[in-house]
Amino acid sequence: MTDEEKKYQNLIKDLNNLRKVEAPQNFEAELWRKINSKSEVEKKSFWENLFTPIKLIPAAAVVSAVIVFFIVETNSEPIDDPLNAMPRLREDIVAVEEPKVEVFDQIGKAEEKKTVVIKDKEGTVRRDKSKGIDSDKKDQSTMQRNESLFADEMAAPKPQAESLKSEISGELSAGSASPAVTAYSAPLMGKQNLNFRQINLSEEQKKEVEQLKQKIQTKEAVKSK
Amino acid sequence: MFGNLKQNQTIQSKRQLEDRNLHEFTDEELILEFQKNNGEKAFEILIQRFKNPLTNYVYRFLGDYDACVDVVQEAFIKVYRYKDNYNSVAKFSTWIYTIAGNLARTEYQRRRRRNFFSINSYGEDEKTFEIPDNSTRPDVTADSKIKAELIQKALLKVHHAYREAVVLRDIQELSYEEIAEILGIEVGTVKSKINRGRAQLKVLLKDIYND
Repeated sequence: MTDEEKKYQNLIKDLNNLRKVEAPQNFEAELWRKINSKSEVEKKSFWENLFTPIKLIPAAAVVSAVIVFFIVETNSEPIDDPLNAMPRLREDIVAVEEPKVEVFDQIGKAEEKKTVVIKDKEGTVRRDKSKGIDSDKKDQSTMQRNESLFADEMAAPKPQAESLKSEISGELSAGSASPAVTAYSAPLMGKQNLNFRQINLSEEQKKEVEQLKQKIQTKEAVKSK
Repeated sequence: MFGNLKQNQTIQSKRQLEDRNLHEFTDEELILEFQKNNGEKAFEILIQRFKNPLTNYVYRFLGDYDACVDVVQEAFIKVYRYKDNYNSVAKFSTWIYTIAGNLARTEYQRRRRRNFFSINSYGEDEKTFEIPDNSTRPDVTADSKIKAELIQKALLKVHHAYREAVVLRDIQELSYEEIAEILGIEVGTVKSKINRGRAQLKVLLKDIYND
């Protein structure tokens, strides 16, 4: 006996002398009854338990519901909440208005230059152009906003279409302005001169242009002589 | 006719001899017999050998006789069903004590969760419980019975981890090594748990052990 066991000697003795509790008389009979009753209940395997109709039917219903939900969900169009949606951008207005300002401005500046050149030749045309400039001044605020962009644009080498425009307008300023030609004097141009309109001159117009060129050449030839 | 009777007598005597032999078997030999030949007689002998010690152990741990009988029966059912799980290296008593101990612990936890105790509620209730006992006379053993009841009540108040160690050591008289194997802990831990359990018991039974 160890020291600690000696310390609790009386307690250990009493615990040892506690009456031994015995199993009831019918213990074995009851035990065999339980064993036999439990062995009768066959244990089903996991898969057998899983694929019973009681569990399979609701599971199949849930799976099919999920599949249907995804099919419907993917085919349906997204619905925007009108209260939460941002106001629609009027692209048609924006797309048209901005170039207009630019075009007016560009044309205005270009024509301003041209009027300076033409000034000595014909006053009437100059007056008309200045009117156009005046009308442009109404949108001065927008012009100022885009001024830097236009300055860049002007500094850039003039594209072919613009030179053609100035050429034509120069010819027009000489006096032989016809409605057909004036229509080309203001082609729609984009901000970065990317959207040039391709002008397909008709035969008449080409002839007219040729005539004008010839006139200019003859005039120049006369002057030089 | 006479030949058949003689044959039956020889079969009976052979069986008696076999039974007598089985009773002489160790626990380990019996369970091996049960494993190999599915001999229910071997299993019955094991039941006879272990039903009372296990009932005593589980009763001292749980404090409820009906629950204890159920637990012990469940332990035997497990032995019957999972006899092939027994490893011949271990002692059979250790194996069956482990099974019974685990079941008793599970039952104890279940009861504690439900806060349902059929007797005494860890001795706080004064109601007593009946244990079938035909061997002792109440008039003779009145004092010892009261003392035993007090000890049992105190035992149920001891922490369950210490209680099972104390019961296995001081009531079931198992060795430290066996207890360590049954509880799945080190021998040192077993000793520590037993000492703590005893200390708690002594505090709870200070009126009896006032020395």
